[in-house]
Amino acid sequence: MREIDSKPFGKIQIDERQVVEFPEGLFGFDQNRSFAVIEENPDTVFKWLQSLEDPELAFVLIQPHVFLNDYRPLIPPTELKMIGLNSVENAVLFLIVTIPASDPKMMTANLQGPILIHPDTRIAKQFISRDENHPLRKLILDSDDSGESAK
Amino acid sequence: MLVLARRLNQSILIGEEIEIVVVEIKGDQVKLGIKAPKTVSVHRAEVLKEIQEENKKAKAEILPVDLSLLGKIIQKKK
Repeated sequence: MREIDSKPFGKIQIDERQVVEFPEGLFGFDQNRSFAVIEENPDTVFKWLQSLEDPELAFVLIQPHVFLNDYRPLIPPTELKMIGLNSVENAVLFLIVTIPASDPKMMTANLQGPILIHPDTRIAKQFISRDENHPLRKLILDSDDSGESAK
Repeated sequence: MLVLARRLNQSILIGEEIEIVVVEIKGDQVKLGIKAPKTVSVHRAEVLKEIQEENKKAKAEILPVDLSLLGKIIQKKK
């Protein structure tokens, strides 16, 4: 266990198994390499990707299966090998969530830039899905779905 | 920047392994076919920039939001 400064929860204890390394950083944040995947409680569908180098740098993550039935990013095998993966199925898969402060229910997940983590080495990378049907902003609460999200 | 005029089905080579073919010309849109080794990443130029911008937006606009409440809405939906 070690103590870290986190943006959502202040000082918290994390386990070394929560640490993931991005050798190239994330797109637009290539200076930050070490992150921890943390969650408020085991029930929530969201997790946080917290930089270990910059307490102010944190992203909200969601696992695609929570709201999508058949999301499979299209990534060339040669790119997957950069983090030692043979197949997308072997990876721990997360999407970055953008939550507009003015209207949180319009939150979107980035299907075009998924994060894949090697389950054993915890080496991670943000990839670009080559599938044309994977948008930059996919509404998580589908607006035409029974009016639930309109409330 | 090198500028080359090409017609339909003509191509250019970059080095010996990368070939770009004009596949279709329709109005102001050109479809290009790209043959390249698997080790070469090919993207639309704007894609990388868009993901960078989206990451920055995702970082900026996360608080204050009750995530557990939003999470319950998703679970109920499912």
